[in-house]
Amino acid sequence: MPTELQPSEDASTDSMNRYNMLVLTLSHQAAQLQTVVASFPDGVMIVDHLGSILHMNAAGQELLGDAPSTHIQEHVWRYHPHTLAGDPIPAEEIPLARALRGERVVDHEYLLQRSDGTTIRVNVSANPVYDQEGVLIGAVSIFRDVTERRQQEAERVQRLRELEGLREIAQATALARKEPAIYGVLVVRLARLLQTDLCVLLMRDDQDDMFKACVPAYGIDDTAITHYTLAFEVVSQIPSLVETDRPLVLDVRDSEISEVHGHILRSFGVQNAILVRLETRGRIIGLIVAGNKSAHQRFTESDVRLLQTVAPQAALAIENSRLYTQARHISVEAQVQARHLARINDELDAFTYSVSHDLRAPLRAINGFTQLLERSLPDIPERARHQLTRIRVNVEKMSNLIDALLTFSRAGRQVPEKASIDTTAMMRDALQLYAQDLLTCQAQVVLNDLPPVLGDARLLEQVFANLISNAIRYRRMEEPLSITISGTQTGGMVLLVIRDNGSGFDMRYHDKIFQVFQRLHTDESVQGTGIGLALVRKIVERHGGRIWAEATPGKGAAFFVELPAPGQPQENQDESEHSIATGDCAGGR
Amino acid sequence: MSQNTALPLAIVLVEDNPDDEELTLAALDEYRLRNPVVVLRDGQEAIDYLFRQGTYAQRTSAQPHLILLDLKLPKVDGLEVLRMIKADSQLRRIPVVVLTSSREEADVITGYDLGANSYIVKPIDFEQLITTVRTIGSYWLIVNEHPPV
Repeated sequence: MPTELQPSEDASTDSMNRYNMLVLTLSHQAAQLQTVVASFPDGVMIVDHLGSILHMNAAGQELLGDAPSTHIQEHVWRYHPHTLAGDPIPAEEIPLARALRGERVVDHEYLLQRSDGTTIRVNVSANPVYDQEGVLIGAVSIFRDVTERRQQEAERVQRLRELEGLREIAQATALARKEPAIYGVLVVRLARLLQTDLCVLLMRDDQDDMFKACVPAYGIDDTAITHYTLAFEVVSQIPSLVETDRPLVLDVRDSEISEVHGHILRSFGVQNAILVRLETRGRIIGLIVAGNKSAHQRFTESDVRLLQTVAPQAALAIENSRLYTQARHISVEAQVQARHLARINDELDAFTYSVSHDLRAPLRAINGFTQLLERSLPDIPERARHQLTRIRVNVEKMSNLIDALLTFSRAGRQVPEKASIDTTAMMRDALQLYAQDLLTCQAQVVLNDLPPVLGDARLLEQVFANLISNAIRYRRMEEPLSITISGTQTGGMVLLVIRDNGSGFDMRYHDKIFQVFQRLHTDESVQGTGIGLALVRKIVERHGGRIWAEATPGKGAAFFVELPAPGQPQENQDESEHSIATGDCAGGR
Repeated sequence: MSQNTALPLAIVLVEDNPDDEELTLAALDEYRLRNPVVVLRDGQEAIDYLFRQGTYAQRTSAQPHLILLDLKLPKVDGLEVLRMIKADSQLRRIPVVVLTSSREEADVITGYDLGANSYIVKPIDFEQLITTVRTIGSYWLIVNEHPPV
């Protein structure tokens, strides 16, 4: 800009001075404007009404990477503006050109290619410039590089989509009960998320150690599924797949493809693949394989992350499904067993009944005819009479044995009735049964107050009678018999103790005395069928209790009987079982 | 006391076991109860005899005054025989004493439900059998007013 004009001879000094002032002010203002524009953070481009580029500021030059062009046409030719879809934008459509036609353009985003080859995304706004008379004299545009910001936004959207996809997968696999349903959900959703045209689960067969493709699979026909297998020995050659949870990415375009990798790509007929192991409790149970059969984009780190997150969830869902199936099997088996047991019990009942019946008949015959014999021979020698008596005694013994066996067998299968028992009174009744014997051996009995128990009166009567009878039977002759009976309640159980000063027994044989037919004394010295304590134990255990003994030979023995106490816990248990049942029905609806 | 002393009171013993039969008869013998005892060996024979059918279609003898009935019988079970007897308008008057070795509660209940007049378990001991039989005989044939048949 000229800073001075040649003085004219005719002009007055005033007008010349005024002119000079104007020029100075204008140039000053222009300089200011220029500084401002130069400092703009965004690019600024100014064109005249013909499209010639009058000004490009420093930021704009930096953004484009080159010295400015002279005209919009050149600008377009150099920087190839094109849409996000890739279609070129003609010169007359770029914002500045549109502004020159009077349009106001706001936030028009498109791509430019810099001379270094990089593509940037710009956000451009442009306005027309009018002079004071309203004549369009040019246009100005502001533009900025939004490449990075848009990329970040795109990534965030992608991540949100992934999360949503993961959530859907998690939900769907949680709902699926059967394994094929889980496979179905997984392969479809993963194929969608990873944008592959193949996705399949290979589950490990323990029998032949092969990973076999499962139906349903995405991109593989059900009928062809059996062709897709991988041997475990092949897979085990890839430590990164087997020993880590990081998915493996394969691509035919990779510069180095190992034999194993190539084999996998060929086996699935894909150009690229991403694989991840399914692992539970330290064991690989399968693989997820996804891939593209034809032209594709490379798998990204985000894809790897996605699969890495999905795999453990899938493995867990499959594991759960298997456990559920197992549990159902066990339950069914248990029912079969229960029915079997019930049948066996019935058979045993019938058997015991007829056996005891049929065994008694010959006994009657033996006894009867022996007696008839005795009667018919009045002058029988003593020896013969003795022998006949022995026959009768043994018959009686056998009869008692049969009765005891029957009772024992029946008691073992009976479900005890549950009622609150006055233990002290029952014990007193049992002692009363043996009142005569107790008197005979001058027994001293101490019966303390006993806490009530929950049980079957008839069965427990037998228990107490048996224990008292034992105390009497196994007494020492040298001393009068002393029996002490006491009981305490702790929590939900009552412990009864029957202590005597009899002959006791060696603790080595503690378990034996509770067994059927196991007796520690010879036949004749002590009366008894040898079933008593076995029967007692059976009854006590059927009540949910325990029985054991402590003894010292020559000093005495103490029998400990633990039985449930009556009261709240038992009743509540029944109630809560009932409510569980109804809750289930409600839930089942 | 018995109404009709002209005819001896007949007893029917339904028993399949020959040993039991012999012992029971011996016990009856002991009591010197010289009443005629008809022994029938299975349920079908018992029915045929009492209902005068089959092999006993031509029977003209009087009906018994006492029936001793075992339960475990071949062909037709003792409880079935009991049911049939008590279902018949004529036969049901005859006292039936179930004499069996079964002490099973189920049998006792069913026996009484079907109308047995008495339920006796055969003792193993012969002495006891004699006493039992004596008691049965004495009660049902002498003390008890037997129904007209």
